[in-house]
Amino acid sequence: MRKKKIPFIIIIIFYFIILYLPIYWLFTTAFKERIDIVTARPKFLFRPTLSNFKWIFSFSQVTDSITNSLIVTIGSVTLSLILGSLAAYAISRFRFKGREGLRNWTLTVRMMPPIAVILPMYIIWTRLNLYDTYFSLIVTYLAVSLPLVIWLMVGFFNQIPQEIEESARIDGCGIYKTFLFIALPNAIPGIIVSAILSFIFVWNDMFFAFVLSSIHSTFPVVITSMATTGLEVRWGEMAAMGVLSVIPALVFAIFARNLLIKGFQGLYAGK
Amino acid sequence: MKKQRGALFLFLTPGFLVMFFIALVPFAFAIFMSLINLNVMYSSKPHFVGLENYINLFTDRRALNAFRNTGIFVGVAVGIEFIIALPMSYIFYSTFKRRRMRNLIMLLIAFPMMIPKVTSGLLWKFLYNPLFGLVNYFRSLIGMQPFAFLSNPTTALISIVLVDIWQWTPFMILILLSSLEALPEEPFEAATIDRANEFQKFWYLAVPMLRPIFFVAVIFRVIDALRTFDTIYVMTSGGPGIATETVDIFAYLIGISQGGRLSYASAASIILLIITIIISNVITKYLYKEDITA
Repeated sequence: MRKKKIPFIIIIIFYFIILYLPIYWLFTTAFKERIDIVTARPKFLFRPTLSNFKWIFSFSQVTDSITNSLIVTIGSVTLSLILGSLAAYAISRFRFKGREGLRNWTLTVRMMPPIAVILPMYIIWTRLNLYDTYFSLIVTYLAVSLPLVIWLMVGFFNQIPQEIEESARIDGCGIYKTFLFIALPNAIPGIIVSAILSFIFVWNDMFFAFVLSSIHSTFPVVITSMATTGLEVRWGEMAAMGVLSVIPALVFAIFARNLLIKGFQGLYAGK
Repeated sequence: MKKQRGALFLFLTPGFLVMFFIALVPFAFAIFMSLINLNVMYSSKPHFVGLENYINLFTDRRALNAFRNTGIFVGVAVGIEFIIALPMSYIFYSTFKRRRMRNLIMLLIAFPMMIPKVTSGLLWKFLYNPLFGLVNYFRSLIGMQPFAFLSNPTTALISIVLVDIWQWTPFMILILLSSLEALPEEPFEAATIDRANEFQKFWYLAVPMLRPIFFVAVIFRVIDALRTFDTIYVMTSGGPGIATETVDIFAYLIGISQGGRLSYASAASIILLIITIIISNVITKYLYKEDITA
């Protein structure tokens, strides 16, 4: 019985090598001296150094962009959690015309190609004198996070048995109180999952901020501009930035792994 | 009942007002823009040109090239991802039976997806480097000459497709593996007792039972691949020449960074959007009908 599994285990190991060798390479390159990077024969053994990170952090452009990314991401995620759980609760609990249509529309918004809305957004924000502000970036990134949160939270509210809320209502709890004190506390795991996933999606995105910001550029935008304007020859330093960009995902993967898996499943199974 | 309506309104309005403003308004505006001749370079007032921008797209070789590249990118990437993911998901399913182990494996599969596309593009640009990239090192081990994959027009696009395959095959594995987990185990156990081998169990049990979900996995991936911008932009910015210019890159370049033909770029992106909307409607109709009444 055990023996039969060996070909499968070999395939799995092979697959994980393909999957993780590049990631391993990113992380090790970030800790290599230039002399260990620019070599035809890759060095698997080397003396680790922090010089790449020091170089990165000496740029205010980089440190500022990390701050900007955090502000925009946290702002957008927080707003979408508030707006999204309200809307999702309504979709999950109320019976009204167009309910199904609204839910499906959130999926369509989540899938829309950003290029189709970016030009008008650029013009709109410029006309409102809000181009390149935290406000415009946070609101724009709601286009990424809000549909995601609504979608996930509808699924989570649907899973909470309605009986608890009904008995609360019979005991005289109003709609708002029921939502705030009964439904919301029960949905906390769902809220955390939504927060984590929308954080990753907003943090990872380059495109919206790429077009809609200059001084308030986010971290992926700065990585892109450095990587496409000649600085990519500084591989170690670029790899160090790459490592920094992966840190949120890494933190979530270590500390919230079960929630993360649940989230990914909810995202695409609609359950 | 009256009170219910008020509450419904209060719950729904803020969120959907925002969605309206950030999705529907720009969308309507983009359609409007695609029907006039707005160009940063013109000083004259833009006027209505009807479908001219759309008609021009179909005679513009650069635009047609972009649509072709998007087609190749999406078709090849998603096709190969599916071909790899289908057997891989079964291999994972049949090898790991314990729940804790499966969760750990799923996390390992999912992690590459959480890397920013910018970073994976950057990373692979380094791996493809002709002088000290890992890809060329492995080629040299079997006696092949170093090759600049990203600066050669015939290999650049397919090299980026490989990055997409690397990063997003896990997505399909994850969907298929989750659905396998949800299937009843009895048929597999019965097949084992009847001495079916792994291939038979895969082909005659797993594949037919998974078939309804194929569609979902493929369509989600198609829609996501259709809007790939970050990876391509970081790796080649559409070059060399226009070899890796997809519709997203094309619309960005002509609309914003090289020339400001805003209306023309809008027309191209509207076509992309319409394709996406059609596909996403298919999926919502097909998939989520029954589940909403839960």
